[in-house]
Amino acid sequence: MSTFSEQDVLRLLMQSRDRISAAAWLVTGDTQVSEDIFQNVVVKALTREVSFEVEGAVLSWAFITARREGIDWLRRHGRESNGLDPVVLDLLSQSWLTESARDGGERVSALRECLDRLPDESRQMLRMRYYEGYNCGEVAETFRLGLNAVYKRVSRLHAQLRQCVESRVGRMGVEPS
Amino acid sequence: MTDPRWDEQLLLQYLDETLEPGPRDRVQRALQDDEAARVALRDIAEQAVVLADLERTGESRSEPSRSPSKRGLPVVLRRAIALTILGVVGWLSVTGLTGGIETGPRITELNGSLQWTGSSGRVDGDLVVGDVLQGGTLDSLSANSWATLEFDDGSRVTISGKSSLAVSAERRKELHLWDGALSADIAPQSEVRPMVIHTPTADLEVLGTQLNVDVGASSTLLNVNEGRVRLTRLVDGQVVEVPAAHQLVASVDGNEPLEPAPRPNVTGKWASRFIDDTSVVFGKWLPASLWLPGRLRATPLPHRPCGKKKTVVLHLAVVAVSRDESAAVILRRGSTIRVRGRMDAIFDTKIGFTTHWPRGGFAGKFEIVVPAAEIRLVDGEFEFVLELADFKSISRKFDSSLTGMELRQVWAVTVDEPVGLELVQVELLPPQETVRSKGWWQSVVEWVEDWWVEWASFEIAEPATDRSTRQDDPNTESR
Repeated sequence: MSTFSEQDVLRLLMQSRDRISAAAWLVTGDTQVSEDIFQNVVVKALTREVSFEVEGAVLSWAFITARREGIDWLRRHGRESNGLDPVVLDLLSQSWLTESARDGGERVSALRECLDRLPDESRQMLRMRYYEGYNCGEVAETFRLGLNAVYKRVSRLHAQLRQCVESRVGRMGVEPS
Repeated sequence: MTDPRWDEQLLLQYLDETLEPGPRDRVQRALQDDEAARVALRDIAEQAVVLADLERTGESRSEPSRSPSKRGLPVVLRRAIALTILGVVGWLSVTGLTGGIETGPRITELNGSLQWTGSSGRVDGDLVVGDVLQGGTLDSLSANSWATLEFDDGSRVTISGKSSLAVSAERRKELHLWDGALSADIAPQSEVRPMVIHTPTADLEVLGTQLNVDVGASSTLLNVNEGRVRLTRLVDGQVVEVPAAHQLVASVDGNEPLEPAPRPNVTGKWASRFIDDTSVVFGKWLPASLWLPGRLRATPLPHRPCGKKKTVVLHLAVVAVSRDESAAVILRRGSTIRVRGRMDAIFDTKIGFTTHWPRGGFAGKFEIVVPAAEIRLVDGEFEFVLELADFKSISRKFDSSLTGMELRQVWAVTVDEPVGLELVQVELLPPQETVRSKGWWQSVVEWVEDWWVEWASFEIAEPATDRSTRQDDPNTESR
């Protein structure tokens, strides 16, 4: 059986970049660390000696490695886990793995368009929470809102983004998962 | 179809660990049993990382962060701080300490199969001279391909052969060489913001210099021809300065000494050694068996020739000369390249090599086709003895004499046909004894020329690079 070249592995990882980073984020809760972890996964994939023979093996290895790197990062920062059940992480990885690269790519592409259409203040709130790494309490303090109000607004934004993505993906002819 | 009514707020509080034990257990159970809950969590995770990516790469319409201070400072004070920072940044720009506003590097030369993957994941295989690259990865996909990028300050970086170079979108002078070979002429840089080249095993800080970097599976070979480079070995954080005319290998083994060594002497003779995979750039290394020596087997590589729609499959084996040899291997007038190998069926085979200027950077690629009609197989083995003069330059830009050039890589390739090509040994042989057949004056001239090449080649200045191919079209598309 032929093995995947480094180029194939790199292309596959880049196509699945957002999903692998998202898996790492579920462990670390930090988008910057998740990006670093994704880059480490790429480096490991290109420098490891074992070859991959099927696409699923590359991605399965990548999700497992990303999760392990995330757990290592938590431990280095004095935490044993993030409280998320390993079984749940397994199930989520499975759902990412069973989705084709095309469907996942179209969903993420639609998400980028939806994020770009958010009103400024909504975008600013999400940026503080996910890019700058403030917790909801700190976001509430900044926006002079109550904590519950921030949770409500952020969760509503997530729901709106999901609906926006589903409607766009539906228009592209791909069945949303 | 997912259930849009699943309560994202509970999930957010669960992730922040702010839920009471009762609701927390309920969410935990739901995530195990209810696919809709997991889909909602998956969407939150994807939305978080994609938003961060958009902010990081500055792709979206959003302005730089305008978030209020984390500590809730009064608006007036925040504005005062912002104005102060703007003032400082402006002063730094005027004094050149930040390098001013920088755009991404521009492609000034290219050849062969190249591919650009932007940070959004968009792939572009139709690169042309003049394209500006911003935030993404440039892949040189085949043995005979290369690309030269030029930055605003005149710094030039060339990747060649099978190489992968990531260009930062945020810090324009930050490069990641994941794999392959890079040659760089770096203009003097600010001490506070040098060019940084990351490899899987080392970080290189460059203040202005000419250097060559070869990245293998577990090591980085740095050759500094001019200036100085500060190298940090990643495995243990050890830092060392590599001066001009020195080289250094940084590997994943932290026990290896990290000391720059003077650039090695030159030699006109070289033979590959496939006792391990140290010298393998592309292909599968096969260890020696009872009947066969260690060898390098060609492996498939999809390749779309420039301007063509059809993708072909190359069966390619590339061996590095530079990683394998303690002395610089120099081409001399009358040198020959001998290639011994194996194949299951006779097919047209290309043999090529990459050169560097003596004490300098990339100097072109040369190749020759050995037609099937001229290949003789004896027990599945072949031997090609190829005159240096018969190799043709892949680009007219580098169509100059090969005498005195440094040999860096040699490759063998068949197109589309998987004929089981294997390299058993590749050799550079010194010129044959042909003095007697020539006039005495011709012989003396060649002897003096060869002597000069042998002993003084590293003092030959690299010819001024022809930058006439640069296109300063302001309408050039930014990628």
